[in-house]
Amino acid sequence: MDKKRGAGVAARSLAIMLLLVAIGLVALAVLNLQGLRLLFGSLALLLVGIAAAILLQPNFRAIYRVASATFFEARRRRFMNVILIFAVILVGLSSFFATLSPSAELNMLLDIGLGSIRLCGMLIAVFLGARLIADEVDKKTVDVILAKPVRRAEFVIGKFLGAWITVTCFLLVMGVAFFIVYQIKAPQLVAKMQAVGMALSLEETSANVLKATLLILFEMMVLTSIAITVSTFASWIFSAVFAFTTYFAGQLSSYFHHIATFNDKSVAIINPSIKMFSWVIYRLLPHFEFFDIREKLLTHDPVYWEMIGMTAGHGVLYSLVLVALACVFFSYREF
Amino acid sequence: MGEIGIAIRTEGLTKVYRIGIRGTHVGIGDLTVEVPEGEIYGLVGPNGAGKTTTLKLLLGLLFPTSGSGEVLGLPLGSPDYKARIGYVPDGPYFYDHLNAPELLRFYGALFGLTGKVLEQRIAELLELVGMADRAHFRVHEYSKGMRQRVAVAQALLNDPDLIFLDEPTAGLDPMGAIQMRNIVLDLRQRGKTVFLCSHLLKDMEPMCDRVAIVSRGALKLTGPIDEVLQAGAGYRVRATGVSPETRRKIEAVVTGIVEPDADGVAVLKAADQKRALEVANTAAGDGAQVLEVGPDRRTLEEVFIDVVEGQAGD
Amino acid sequence: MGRRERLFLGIFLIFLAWIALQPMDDWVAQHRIIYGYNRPTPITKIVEFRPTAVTGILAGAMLGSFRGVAANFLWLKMQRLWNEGQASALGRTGEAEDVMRTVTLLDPHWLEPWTFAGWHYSYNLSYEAEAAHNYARQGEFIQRGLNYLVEGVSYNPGTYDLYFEVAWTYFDKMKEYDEAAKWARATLTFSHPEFIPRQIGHAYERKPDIPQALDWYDYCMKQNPADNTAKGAILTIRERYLPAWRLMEQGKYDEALKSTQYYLNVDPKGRIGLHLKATIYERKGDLQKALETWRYAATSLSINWYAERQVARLSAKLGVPAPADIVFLPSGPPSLRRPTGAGGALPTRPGQ
Ligand SMILES: Nc1ncnc2c1ncn2[C@@H]1O[C@H](COP(=O)(O)OP(=O)(O)OP(=O)(O)O)[C@@H](O)[C@H]1O
Ligand SMILES: [Mg+2]
Repeated sequence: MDKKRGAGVAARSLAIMLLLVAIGLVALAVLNLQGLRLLFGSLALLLVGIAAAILLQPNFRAIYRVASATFFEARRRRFMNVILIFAVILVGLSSFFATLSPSAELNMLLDIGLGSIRLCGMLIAVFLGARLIADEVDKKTVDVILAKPVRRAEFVIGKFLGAWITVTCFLLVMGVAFFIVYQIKAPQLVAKMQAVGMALSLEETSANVLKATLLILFEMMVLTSIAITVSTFASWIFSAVFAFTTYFAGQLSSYFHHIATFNDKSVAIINPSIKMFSWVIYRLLPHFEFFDIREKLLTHDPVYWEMIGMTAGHGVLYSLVLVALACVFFSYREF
Repeated sequence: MGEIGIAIRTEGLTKVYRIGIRGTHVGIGDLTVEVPEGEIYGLVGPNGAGKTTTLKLLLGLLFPTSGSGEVLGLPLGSPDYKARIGYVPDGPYFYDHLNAPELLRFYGALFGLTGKVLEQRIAELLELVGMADRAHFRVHEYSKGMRQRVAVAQALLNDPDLIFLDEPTAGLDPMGAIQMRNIVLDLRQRGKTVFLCSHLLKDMEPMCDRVAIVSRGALKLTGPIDEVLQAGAGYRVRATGVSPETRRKIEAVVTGIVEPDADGVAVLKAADQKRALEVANTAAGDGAQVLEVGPDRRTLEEVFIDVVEGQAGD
Repeated sequence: MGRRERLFLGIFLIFLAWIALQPMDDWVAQHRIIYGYNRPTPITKIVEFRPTAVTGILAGAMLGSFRGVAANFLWLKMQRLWNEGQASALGRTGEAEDVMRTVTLLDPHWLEPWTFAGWHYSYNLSYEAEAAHNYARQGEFIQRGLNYLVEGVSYNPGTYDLYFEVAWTYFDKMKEYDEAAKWARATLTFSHPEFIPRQIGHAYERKPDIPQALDWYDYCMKQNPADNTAKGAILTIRERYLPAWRLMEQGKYDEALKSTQYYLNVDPKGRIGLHLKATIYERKGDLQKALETWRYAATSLSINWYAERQVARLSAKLGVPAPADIVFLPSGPPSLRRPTGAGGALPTRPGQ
């Protein structure tokens, strides 16, 4: 008994030490010492994560059970199947548009195919994310679960993972459907484009399609986490509307950055308060445009794994921060 | 450690609901109770008295506005006692798409139960609550009573030391109510503590070791059931068709007479058992029909009505 | 620790994590700009547009990757209009114009609509106008096509294609050789086809700016000694025009004119010869003669906007009204804007 308590105290002191170091690292990152912001920031994130794990000692089995129950439950929601069928039809349709030039046709195939995947993924992510917790609260099923040895944070994380796994499965189905369509349609277009001297290869464009689909996965992770976080303190309708709004505003985030850092007085003078406001918005908004590699799809340039990795990592970390916030909100909620 | 432990202890436990921006409503106020281990504790009160509120406070679903409490020696809401308790909510809801074994498997897994142990436990519990033959139904195909039975089964999955029941007999048929009662009594037999909320006083009275009466968010009365019900140590005779002649005969023996009610049942009270039997004999000899001779316990209903109406007055 | 303290601690930790996330955020944002994953419309662009265009740009950006879908469907519509002949009839370009405009604003990094719009105006429509002998209209169409292309460049300063389209349209349709050379030079900062320096030489040759033309042809020879076109051009220039140019630079204008005339006698309508002759007259200060020569070049050759513009310019300089048959007076070429994101200064000399 005493030994156990001693270990608990030791773990707690370790966690607090880690947090103090993390605070220092964040300070270094803010000061951008030696231009190593990225290193300091990432290390700090890692330490905060470890400290949180030590302090909270999450029960992974409970998280897993909640997540898998969520997944199996979500699969049965009827609207999901409707969206999936709709998506597969759309993806199939993307190959039926014929235009003047093969390059425009390839472009259209990519845009409409990936656009359909993204649209349907978005609908699923938002509605699932917004409704999962809200439904449990409405139906009072949450009462029984929270009376079991499941902490609220574990419940939220489980729900989030379950939702994301569901979204992922749907995206994979849609992605495979599109990839098949692409492999049927693209080779002839690419051949025609190569014939007029355009530099592109089928392998590279196909790889880009896969990478784009992969990034959509992480984009939807961020979107799910937004919907879930808002739904822990607001109605599911509000949280769905909020998530959609954030999605579209997030596409504009670089404009806010642009305004915040614009300094060419010869072109336009921007009110400092507007600049300040834009800066705050830029920092707060999720950068949904990060997950968009359409420029590279159009130019058929290779997309580097480094970029994909950093973007995906950013998406995961952003989602985790949001989900942590959701856990806090949910822990203070009454039923 | 030899003495009897306390399963639940609350001190000045208060929950004030916020209504709108300014409004407040006292769900339960200043509740100080102790529930000894191994007893059946009944929390009774009219609708809206604060029974469910109290239960949710004890389970950590609500947070107290003030006051504090302990469950199994741990502060309210601590995840650590939840592995040792069971909870049957009022009007329970479950994942609609699952059937009873699937549902129980899910909840069991949350307790860390797996494999054969869990399967066996599920089979036992379904048998216990009389659902074994209807196990394959999905929850949305269940009747209210069937849900209630499943709710009891899920609460017993972890063989809890302390079980909270909110209106456990609501929606159950008479057989179900009896089975329910047997389950509760069996739990006590095995040394478990049961915390029961209900306004079905007739069901509560024979089961509870200890009751607390709450009304409008306030604790009115609490104590062992015998203390609460047995106001005096007298005896009584319940009989119909008591003639005026009989009354005259027993005038010297009885300590009081309660006039016949709508069914014509009069209550004749006596100081001890011997006198009560005397009264009964006399009445029977005069042609009255004696229904019952026994200690003059007030029914929980009577006490309850007294307490609640007494409050209505102030 | 009480509930409230825990809440504050939790929020503080999340805030900390969020700050720690920012460097990663910035890394991705920067690299997206550097490697061209993200090409936001520069604010300068937004400021200079009409409010409707701003709405279009913002809507397009807000749609994120969906803007491509929207643009695609509009593009399909454009093609329907095209197939129905609605986009080609003179004066009835309203709807097609709107659709084209919207597509370019919705998806400004999709090059095809810009190229298409430029080509449609400067070639198709301008040809129809020419066939109807409506030269003023023709000039207007060429100019409009160029405007599209130049605007396209301002959104896509980092890709080769549109620079070349502008250069070629200036050279081939507008016949504005300085601009053509300038835009062709701009393409040199990208990986470019071998003929570009030669193209610059051609532009200077026609202007004419003989030393520049020779420089660029020499550059071509250095790049590829087997470049026979450049070789031939160098020989011709050295033989026919270089002597006159040298004389002109020495101030020996009459001898220079004589040297030019020698070849003009062989080919009286030789474009370069006529342009050279007019240039020498102008250097000499004989503006009247220069005007006449430009006039001759403008009227005796198939459409020569370059000569016509010179006539208009000299007429203004002399204070005489421009001749009635000079119809094309463009308001001036759109300037090469250098929006943020483009590389350093353009090379003005070969190999620079
Ligand atoms: N979420 C809530 N917000 C505001 N007031 C509430 C809330 N829940 C309950 N109340 C109020 O608190 C009081 C106690 O409610 P509670 O549900 O505890 O009663 P109860 O004793 O369980 O009644 P019943 O026998 O009908 O189940 C009631 O007056 C009710 O109106
Ligand atoms: Mg209740």
